[in-house]
Amino acid sequence: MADPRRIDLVRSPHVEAASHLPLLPGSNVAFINAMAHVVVTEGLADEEFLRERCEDVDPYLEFIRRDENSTEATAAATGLDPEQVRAAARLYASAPNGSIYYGLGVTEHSQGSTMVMGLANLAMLTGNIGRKGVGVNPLRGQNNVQGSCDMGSFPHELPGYRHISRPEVRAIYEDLWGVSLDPEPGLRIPNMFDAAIGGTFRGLYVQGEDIAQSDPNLQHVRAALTSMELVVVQDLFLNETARYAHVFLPGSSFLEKDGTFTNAERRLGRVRPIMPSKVGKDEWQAVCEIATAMGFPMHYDDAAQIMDEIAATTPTFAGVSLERLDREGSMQWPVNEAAPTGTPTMHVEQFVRGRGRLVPTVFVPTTETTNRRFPLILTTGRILSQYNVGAQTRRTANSTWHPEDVLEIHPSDAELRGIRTGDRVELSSRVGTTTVTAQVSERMQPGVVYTTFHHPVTGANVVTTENSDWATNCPEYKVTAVQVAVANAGRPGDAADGAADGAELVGSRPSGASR
Amino acid sequence: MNGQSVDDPNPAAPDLADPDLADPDLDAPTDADPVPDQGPPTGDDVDAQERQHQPADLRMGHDIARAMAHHPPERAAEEIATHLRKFWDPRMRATILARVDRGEPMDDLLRAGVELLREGEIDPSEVRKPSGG
Repeated sequence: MADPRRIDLVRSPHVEAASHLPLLPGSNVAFINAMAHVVVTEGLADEEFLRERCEDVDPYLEFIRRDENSTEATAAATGLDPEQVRAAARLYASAPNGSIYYGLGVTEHSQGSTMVMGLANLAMLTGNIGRKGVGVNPLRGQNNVQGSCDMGSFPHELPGYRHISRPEVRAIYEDLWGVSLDPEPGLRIPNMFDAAIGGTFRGLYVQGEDIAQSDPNLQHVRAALTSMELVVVQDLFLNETARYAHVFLPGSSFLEKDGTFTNAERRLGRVRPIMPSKVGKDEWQAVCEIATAMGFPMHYDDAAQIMDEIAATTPTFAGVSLERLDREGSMQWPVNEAAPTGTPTMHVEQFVRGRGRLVPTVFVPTTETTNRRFPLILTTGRILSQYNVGAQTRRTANSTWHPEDVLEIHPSDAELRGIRTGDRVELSSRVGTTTVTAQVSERMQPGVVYTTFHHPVTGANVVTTENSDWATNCPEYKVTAVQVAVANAGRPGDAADGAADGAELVGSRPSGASR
Repeated sequence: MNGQSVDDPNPAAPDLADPDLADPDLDAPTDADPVPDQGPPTGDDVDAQERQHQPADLRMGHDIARAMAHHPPERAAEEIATHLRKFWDPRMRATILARVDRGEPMDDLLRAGVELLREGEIDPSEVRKPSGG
């Protein structure tokens, strides 16, 4: 278990990690390189797998053997005990089956893509890919992230991960719909905001996402939303983004939806409505009506017809239909002529691209560094009882368990600042400032603080930066340099004992003075 | 400062009249929080604060250049150009091309990559296979 915090999975009633590696935020790539370095230098690599299934092996081995990737050399970045890293690498490499599960947060670093390549390298090095019980498995952040990615939600791809520049792929849709498609990549979300402020991006249709709370550097997001000429929000609830909407379209819940959700093992599961949509329309019907009003008569009789079009246009979904899913149960894509009942395990004989390519994963640290003004690293995350920005769960009794976002801080960092559990503290970064309630916690390591982003009143993303993954532009939510201090009027009742002067509060209060 | 070395056995009290001590630069890196020295050096010396106000194309371009800087320069420039062609919206490509045309300061590697971007179209072999699955 590698996580900066001692999370519940490290030890809970039914789970105990053999090893918890409390690495410093931002050092993932240094860590995974150290793991691979141990595997290679101690002769634990699967030579046969490398020879028969992989390519670019020698340049990678030359890179990973270098001293800069040793457990000792990377310790400065990771903060990890070299012996513990070696033990973890031996444990993974020598297991009959070794599988890697990684959280969504891995991608939320300026080297997120490099880290995923590093994980793939490690799996290939040890031959842990392409059979049951092994592999590199992302734990998705939302129930249907896989499904929406499969359907071409990237600005440069059509469904089935096919690049928009390919004329033969565009032709499939152009012939079917009688239109011509732009062959160029579109903008990613953060770049849409920049273009909106720049005046070249004037309208946005947001479905089921609360960008005015979930995206980094919220001041910037709000400036962008107010710059646009038309913001359409379609959601189950009037969320934070709806404040900026010119048009609000009601959405529907999963209990009213007809279709499929796809999980991280590429499994398409049926979603069936248990009740008709309360708003009298399915979400896809709203899309069809907007398209029709804009001059393209888009019509489907039902969700099954949409799935039929997906199957007809996307090779990996060729054998999928709602009727078949109803009859035979869930299926894992690709479902096509080569795999009529689906594909439980991928990369069995060879990888999709042929041979697995080993990529040297040089550790390039983030530019978001600590200094005297911002000496702590903030990492943000989610907890079990609230979902993402809480648009749905804050409206339920779950809020009894998690009524507000709290800042977890190590006892030594708290003591240095005169902070006790329950204090209101000011959390500042190079980008912004917010206030939040502190919770002193030994789950944290010194120098690292943590908070959730479930509540708009906290607005944890007011402090997160513009930094993003070099390849995907995924925001770096996991590494923000911050300072924490007791806020003015930080404690209930403080004003009465005359100690509410902010200047006196920071670090200078005799312990227990007010309680 | 004041000619004292760290080995001085009897250091004098800090001189608060010294402007460096009276008004320390809180944003300067300290020994405890060094500027990252791992990974390849690049010509991008913009600090963490300034970065937050940099135009996105420049900030992202420098990130890509840093990620590619471990390659030999020619290969790195090709990788940068390919990335920009595959993933950047035409507006952003035009913006960074215009910066190069105006001779704006930027990392040499990034500039080389953008120059290559100007010269060629996307290579079909780069996008032949699905990127996922």
